[in-house]
Amino acid sequence: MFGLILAGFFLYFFLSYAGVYSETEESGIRLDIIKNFKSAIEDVYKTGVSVTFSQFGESGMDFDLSFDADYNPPAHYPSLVSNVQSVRLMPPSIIVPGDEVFVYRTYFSLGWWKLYFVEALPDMAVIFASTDAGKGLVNDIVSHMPSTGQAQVDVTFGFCDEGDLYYDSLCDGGSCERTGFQDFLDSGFYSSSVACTATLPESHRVVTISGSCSSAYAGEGVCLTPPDESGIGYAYVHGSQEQHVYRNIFDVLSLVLGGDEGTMQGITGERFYRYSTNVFREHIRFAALMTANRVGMLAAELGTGPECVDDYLALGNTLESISTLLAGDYGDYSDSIELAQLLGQADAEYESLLSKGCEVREYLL
Amino acid sequence: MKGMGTKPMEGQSNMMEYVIMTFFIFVVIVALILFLYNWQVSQSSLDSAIEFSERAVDMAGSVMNSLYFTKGTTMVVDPMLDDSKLMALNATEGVCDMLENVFGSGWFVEVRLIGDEGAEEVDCTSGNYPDCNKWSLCAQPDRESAYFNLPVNVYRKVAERTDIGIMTVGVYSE
Amino acid sequence: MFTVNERKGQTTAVLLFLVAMIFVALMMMVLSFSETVDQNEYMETYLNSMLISVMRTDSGYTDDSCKLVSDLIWCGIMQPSYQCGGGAEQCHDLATEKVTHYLESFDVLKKNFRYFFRVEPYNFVARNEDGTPIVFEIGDPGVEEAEDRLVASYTIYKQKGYNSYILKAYLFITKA
Repeated sequence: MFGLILAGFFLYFFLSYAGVYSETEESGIRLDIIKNFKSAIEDVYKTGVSVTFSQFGESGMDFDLSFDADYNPPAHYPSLVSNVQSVRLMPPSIIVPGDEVFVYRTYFSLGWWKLYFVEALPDMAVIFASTDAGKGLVNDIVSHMPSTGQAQVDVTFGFCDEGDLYYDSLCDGGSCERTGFQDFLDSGFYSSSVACTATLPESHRVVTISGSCSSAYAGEGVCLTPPDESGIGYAYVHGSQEQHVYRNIFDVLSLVLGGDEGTMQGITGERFYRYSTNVFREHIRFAALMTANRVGMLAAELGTGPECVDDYLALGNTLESISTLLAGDYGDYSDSIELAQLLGQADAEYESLLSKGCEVREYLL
Repeated sequence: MKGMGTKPMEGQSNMMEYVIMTFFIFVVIVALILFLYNWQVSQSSLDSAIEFSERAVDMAGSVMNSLYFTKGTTMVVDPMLDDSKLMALNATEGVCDMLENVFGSGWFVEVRLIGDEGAEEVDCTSGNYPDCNKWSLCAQPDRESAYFNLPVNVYRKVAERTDIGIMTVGVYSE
Repeated sequence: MFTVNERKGQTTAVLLFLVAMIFVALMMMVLSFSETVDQNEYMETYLNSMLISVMRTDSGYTDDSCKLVSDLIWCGIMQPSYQCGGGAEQCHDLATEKVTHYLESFDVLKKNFRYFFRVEPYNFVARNEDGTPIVFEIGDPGVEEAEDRLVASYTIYKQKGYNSYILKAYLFITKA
């Protein structure tokens, strides 16, 4: 009897300890997986080598992962958040949670600088409902998304024209990955002037491109006006009355991939858009300031003749103007136009330096 | 005791056995609890130390692959640093805040050239470029830090030559 | 009620259980000592960076055959008697001198490690005029066979006409 009581006492003690310990263990494992995800994103950002990250699904745990894209340095940095745990994430990123995600690096070029960013995407179908005028933008969006042909994750593309969906058999009897869709775009395009009403695949993003997009947009996903000659246009997200100005592909992808899901922090696409705006501001302002100092210094030092010096000085002046503009709120259309003009000018000045051999063109390996 | 048979003595001895056993078991349980607690505490501080030094290694990788420090306008495999960018960073007002906005807070970087035996270490300023061989950004010598040294190449833009050096990237404890 | 023997049996069972728990705790303690910082991983990163940096450093000569340390090594194997910049030294000797100089510029290598550096043709054979293979080795050959040695490698690739030539450089280090 005494032995039974004693054994019962031990059992109770060890079971309660094991219960507490296993909760701590699970919390530790969850944090480790989030840190592994952060490392995977950072490695892809540094090397450009894409990976498929599947630990979220393999663990069997419920993560409820989100990307806190609030970037207001130094007060607040973006982070990966799961329940009460968060891990800071510095490389510019667009994170769409999933059990299995494909992590991919892309960039857009300003000539004198490139802004690299990472996309982490689960299985996803991106459906375009676009007028002919939007073909260039469709191409731009697709070319900055991953080709997942050999990966376990599928990022596919298709068209929608009102109630008709062109998706399942667009490429060799199946749905199109990036390469197949780009080949299709070379010879074909399904134009639409109305919002998509077809039944869509699971995990989709709808991108409507039309000159008649407005804050009254009632369709799913994002509505983008075709870009003007400066590459700038307006964007509207389903569920919001706000008008956004997109200035580059990072803005566009943030809106598109963020989507129209409403959360406590707001509509995800809009949160990602604010993030991309802030990232562009911080990174490019710094790059412009630093490069302006660099070319000014080189102009003083090189003395290789008037050619390089004049071009360096011109580029330096333009970059200083860019950094001044970015120090303010460059969000509205007229500021964005001015910025686009200055960026175009800087690109041309840098191209001149390249052609004269003052700077050397690097090639992506 | 006189008058008591062997059976009561046996009973008393058995009871003593149980008392001693219970005491012994209690001591072992307490020792086990203390041991496991101390083990978890030491594991936790070891994890923290590892994480601190890994932050330095991660930061070194970030710097080494960043266009703010490396030659050219493209992220490449095995990049090299660019002395004109290092100089420009030195000359940029508020550079530490801007670097923190891009990379995160609490870190420093130093690059010094080696390979020129007997050469004096000359800190680079806007006045002596390119005749200098050491760059230092956001260093705070009084703060505790973990750092990582990495051999690097530094492209000397003016001389159009590639030199060899050591980059030290450190993170400060919070 | 239980007999004396049954009570003794229960006590023994409890004791056995306790011994098992103590054993498990000891194993956990022993296993915990195995989680230390893996210094080798850092050293490998350092070593790889060191080798790449040395290979890409300018030698001080401007001839195409001699510009970088890797060019000097190439010259030392393919044209060992070539004289860089019209000087007196042949490029094989110059390559040995430069590689040694740059490797030993790293205090950590010079003071704490023994090293061995060698280069071998990957897809061809290089021979001297007398038919003996051209060898490029610096340092202590015994390091290559050391048990705890670390190794970094670097590929030197040259295209000459329609032919491509590959040299493989290896740097081995072990604690002094």
